[in-house]
Amino acid sequence: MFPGTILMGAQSRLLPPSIPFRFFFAATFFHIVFWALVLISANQVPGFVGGTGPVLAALHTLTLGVFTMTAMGASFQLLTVATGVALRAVWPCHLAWWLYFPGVIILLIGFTTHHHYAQALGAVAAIGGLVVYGIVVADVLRRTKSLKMAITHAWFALIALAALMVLGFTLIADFDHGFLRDHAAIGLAHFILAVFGFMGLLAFGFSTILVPMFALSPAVPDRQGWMALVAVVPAIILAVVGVVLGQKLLVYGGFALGLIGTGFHLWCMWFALKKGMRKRLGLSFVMIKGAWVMLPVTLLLGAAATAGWLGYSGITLFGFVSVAGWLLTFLLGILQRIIPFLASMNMNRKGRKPPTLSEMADDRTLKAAAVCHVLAVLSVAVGIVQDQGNFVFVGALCGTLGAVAFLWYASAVGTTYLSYHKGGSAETLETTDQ
Amino acid sequence: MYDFTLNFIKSLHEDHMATLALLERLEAFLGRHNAANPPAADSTELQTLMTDLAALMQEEISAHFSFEEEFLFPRFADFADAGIPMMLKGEHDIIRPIAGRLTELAKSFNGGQLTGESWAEFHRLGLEIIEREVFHVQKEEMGFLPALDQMLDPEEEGELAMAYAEKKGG
Repeated sequence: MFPGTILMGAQSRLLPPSIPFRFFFAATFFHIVFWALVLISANQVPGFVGGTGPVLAALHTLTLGVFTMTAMGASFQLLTVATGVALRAVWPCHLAWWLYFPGVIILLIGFTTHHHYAQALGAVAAIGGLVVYGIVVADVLRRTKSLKMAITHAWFALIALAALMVLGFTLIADFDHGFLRDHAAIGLAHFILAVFGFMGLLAFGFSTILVPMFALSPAVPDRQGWMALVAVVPAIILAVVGVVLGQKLLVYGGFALGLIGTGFHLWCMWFALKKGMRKRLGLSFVMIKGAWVMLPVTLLLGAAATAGWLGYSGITLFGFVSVAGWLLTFLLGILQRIIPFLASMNMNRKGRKPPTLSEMADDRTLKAAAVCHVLAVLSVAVGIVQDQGNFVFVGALCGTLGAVAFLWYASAVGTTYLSYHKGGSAETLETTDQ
Repeated sequence: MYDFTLNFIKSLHEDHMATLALLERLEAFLGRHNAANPPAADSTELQTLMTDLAALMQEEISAHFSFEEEFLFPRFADFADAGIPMMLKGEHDIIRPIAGRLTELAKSFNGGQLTGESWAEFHRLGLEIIEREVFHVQKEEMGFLPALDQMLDPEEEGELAMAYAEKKGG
């Protein structure tokens, strides 16, 4: 089976659109909240290495609110369509949402206000939602006989998710009870598992399906795809163990293996783009390619920060570039592609002409969002390096404007979708056939 | 993309590649000349592009679409899922009149009848067909043709290849 079979019978395996879209729209909402929290805590961002408060809330707004929310929506919808394995029931998706969404909000309030019980309550609810999500996805993975490379990535991502949830809850308990010997080290291990383990592996795995599908290319080469996984999984383990044990050599080994794995992954992506029948892939792929450049940069920054070459702000810079420079850039590229794509797949009522992808929303808002995003990442990174809250403030302001533009775009797609199904905007076929 | 085994499906795939290549040329051209900025009527690039476009639209609509609708969609509906051919046929019905009008305009441009109004219409329809056709080809390449390649009896290939050649020749 090849990745493109995603479209074979896709319509018959599409979930009710409200399921993936609620996760995607929540992600675009939390994107604004993330930059707004950075804005109000601009002076605390340079030099941040942990501890409750608005900066920790901002970080989790991005990881839980944007990244994981996107991953949940994409997993529920794309995995079932791509693998051809239907969900046994839709209600667990609703349950996951109703546990996870409020859980994240309560957790973020708890982090911002240093309120321990809110943190614990929010964490329990969010972890509950993630457990349901994990069970649903694991069930699909277990029944899937094809797409072995992507499926194996997803299995390891789920293992990382389980580990990061355990560490995350332990860290929250430690804020109140202080039983951990090295809270910062466990925090960093939790970060690596979340960003590179769970999200990174999902991004790698889903890319082997989505990039060939959008570029209309052959499946990525098996050998290089597997080599990427074979390098990246031990890289994550080495980095986590090295951080926890305070063994820098292991951490360096992790970054080195991570770079090798990234090289294989990027080779696969380059292959897909080179062999693809579709060459003009638009702004979304400009973002995605930018993220691909940022990934090795991130790993090099991590190694340099571990060596102490970047000074006091090194670890903060590494953290920020990982989440905002690499992963957020990548996900914004993917989201702007799959939101209109999924909407379009759901707009095929007989006798009614569906709008084209570009008719669904004004893509100038996406251009504005992209420019703001790049300015935001650069300005905040400079602010961290220079220990200047002003740069962070300006960057966060750009980021907030960009996030609003992105939500504007997503809302316009949603409005077009609703209008189509209410019979408001789309032309009928008869009026086209002149 | 799948490694096709049946020769007439390889031909359909090659049609798609040619279609996408031309649509990318068209997209680049429309990007350089927006709706309010028509190209020079005697531009060699315009003339060549319009000739190629008219030929492709003719081939894509007259031969490719009708072959699929007449020979492949019914077989697919029998073997697998009737919903997929219905969806693809629906897309053909949307693309066909746009392609027809674009062909008329392309021919008129090559006949020296390029006006601001006709260019604006061509520009709008050109962008529309690029999006619709790319999405349509994506669905066929990534789902319909590979499935067909696996489900059709190789003994049918001769008959289908001949029917396809007749469509293209006719």
